[in-house]
Amino acid sequence: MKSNILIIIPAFNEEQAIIHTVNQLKTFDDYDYIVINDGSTDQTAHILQQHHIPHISLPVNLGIGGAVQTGYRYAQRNGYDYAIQLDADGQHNPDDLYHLVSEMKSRNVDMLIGSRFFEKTNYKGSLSRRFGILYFNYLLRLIARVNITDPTSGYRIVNRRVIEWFAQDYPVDYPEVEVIAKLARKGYTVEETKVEMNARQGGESSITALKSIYYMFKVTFFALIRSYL
Amino acid sequence: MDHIQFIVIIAAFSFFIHVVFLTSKNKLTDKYAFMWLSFSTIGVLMAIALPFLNQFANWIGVAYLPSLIFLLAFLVVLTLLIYHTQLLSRQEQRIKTLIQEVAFLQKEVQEQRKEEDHS
Repeated sequence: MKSNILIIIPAFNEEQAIIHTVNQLKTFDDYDYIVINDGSTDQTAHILQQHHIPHISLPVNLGIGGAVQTGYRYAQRNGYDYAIQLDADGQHNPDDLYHLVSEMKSRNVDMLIGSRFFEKTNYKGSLSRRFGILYFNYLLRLIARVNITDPTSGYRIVNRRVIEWFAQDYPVDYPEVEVIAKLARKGYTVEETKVEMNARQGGESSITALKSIYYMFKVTFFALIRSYL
Repeated sequence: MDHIQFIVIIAAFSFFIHVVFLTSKNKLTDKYAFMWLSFSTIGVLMAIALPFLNQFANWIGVAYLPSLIFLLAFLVVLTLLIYHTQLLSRQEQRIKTLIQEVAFLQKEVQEQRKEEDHS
């Protein structure tokens, strides 16, 4: 451990993108990073071994929630003050890391989310994706009284307090929106800052049409129940 | 004793024997073995007491006994189901923690091996 900031990179079957993502991070000497290999069935584990990339390999697939939580538990055990989530598929731009960290420190919030829509950026998503994002924005305003323009963004940094929480309790699937609702309702501060996002380097989005309907219902239901009760 | 009661008693008793058998072979852990033994005992007793159940149904104003039995059975099964789903969720949670712990240990072992190789 050379830093007090840990970058958590969950990876499931990311053999095409993982090297590129990690290489980009190598220029950020002052942050630690760890790849959580979520029981990948392709060459991801092999690549991580071969290139001596710091990683934790889950023996079976836990899904995004379980994988990310492994990272938070690792951060908690090793005494990190901040943890950043970064997607392995190259969508998140490492150039924004410094910006996220410095904003996090100066604003002194509990969670800072990298947003594609906070200011105008080059991001162009599909219509259905934009609709989903708008819907969750409205949902969060309604139940948690926060205005998050990009609630599904996985690019986020949290402080020690939230690391402790996530190490204990983190949703199994589609965790992004739900945790914002929970944190905000419990009085934690959640804010946003602008980031650029790239098109995917490889792999496929985990969200298909049918799944996105389940996603909206599931998140709405759980955000409501778990935030109020 | 009419035919139907005889059949019901045989069925209830077979179920009871089945549960005893599973328990003796350690296929049910103590807690669940006890639960099912209780259920199957109640089943046998109810089969024996079938005529009295009819009277009881008349007495509380249920015109058709089977509907009362179905209602009760349905409620019992529903309660059991939610209880089992709850257990399943707890197991899932525990298994998740275990998997994470195994992964942490694996990492530590690998790092130690590397250090040993270097020294």
